[in-house]
Amino acid sequence: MKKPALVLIAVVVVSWMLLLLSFFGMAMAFKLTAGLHGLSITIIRDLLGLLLFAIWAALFFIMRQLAAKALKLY
Amino acid sequence: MSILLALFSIVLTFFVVLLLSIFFEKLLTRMGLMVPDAHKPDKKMVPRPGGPAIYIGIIIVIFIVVRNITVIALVASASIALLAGLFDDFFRFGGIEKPVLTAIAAAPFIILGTYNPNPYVPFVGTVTIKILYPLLLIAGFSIYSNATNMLDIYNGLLTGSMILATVPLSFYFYIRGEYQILLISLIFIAGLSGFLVRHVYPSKLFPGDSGTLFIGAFYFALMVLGRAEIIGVIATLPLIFNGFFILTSIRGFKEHSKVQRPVIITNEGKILAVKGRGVPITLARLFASEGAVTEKEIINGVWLMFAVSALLSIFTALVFFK
Repeated sequence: MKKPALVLIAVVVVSWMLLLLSFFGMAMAFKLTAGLHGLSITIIRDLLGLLLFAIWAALFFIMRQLAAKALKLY
Repeated sequence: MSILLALFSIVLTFFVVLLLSIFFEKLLTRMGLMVPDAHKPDKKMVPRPGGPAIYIGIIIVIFIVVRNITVIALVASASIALLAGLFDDFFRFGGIEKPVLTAIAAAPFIILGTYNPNPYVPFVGTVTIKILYPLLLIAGFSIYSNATNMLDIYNGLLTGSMILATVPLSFYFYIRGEYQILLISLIFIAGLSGFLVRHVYPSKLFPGDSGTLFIGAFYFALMVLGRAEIIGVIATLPLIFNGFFILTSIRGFKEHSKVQRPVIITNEGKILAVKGRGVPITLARLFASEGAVTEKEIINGVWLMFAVSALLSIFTALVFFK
């Protein structure tokens, strides 16, 4: 298998692991807010979802930089 | 519904889409609606758009075998995406119109309320995101339609990739016992397979933006209807990477003509990455970064990525969702 294919498959596998890790982090955050009720906690939980997307965006950006560096695109 | 009837509808979709593709191929050629195959040395002309062939074949069968409100939302959303694509095929949108128009595909789901704002997340369980979910629908339809559109660069690449990405969804619907949505996903796979026969390298017919936007919107609608958001995201990681890498490297939505080509075609008809910053980072460019490669090598490489993603997605479904 050629190097680009290996690098890109590694990107997929590492991203999958980091996605699962981000879900684990989310589970911990939900555990911390488990005892709270009301509108404010609904909003906080939605914001946690947004935070998750921000983490994913950062993660994908890092993956892009790593792949470009490993394959000497610049 | 009996298994026999379900199997019949799946086989029927394959042949209906295949026959419609051949019909559209001839019709579009006769009408002179053809574009050059940019990655071939002879720039052979290929008819486009074949999107309506996929749409008609899949939608007809779904309407016959599944009749309920969720299908109305699915068909309405997919139709909006198809119309946006058809408009783009004939009149060409700028950089921003396509994402905005495809976001409208979320409207049928929001108006009819055919969504469940409780996605299942690994480690967490069912998460209720009442406020955010409709916004995610709007963003999701736009992201998936346009990311699918961005992947449709090489012969058969998109259809093959989306078949691979839909397999984990079908598997997930099967283990969850959601047989109606399972049937819809299998009909989708059958329709894409019928089209792939004509779209595979060397292509006889291109889907056009109508086809790509329809496929992306339909896939996202499947994720929403079957509450398979996470499984779908994992199965389409290469699709998301390609779209995300392009948008972040060119810094936003830009018109095609204003974006530098990520690859060049060598005299031998091979594909070579353009080096330097500011050039869109695509999966194809990454595959061609170590030296010139053939179009087939790029297609096989991306399919391999989708196959790995599909396996990871199935593994996730087995571990966290069973």
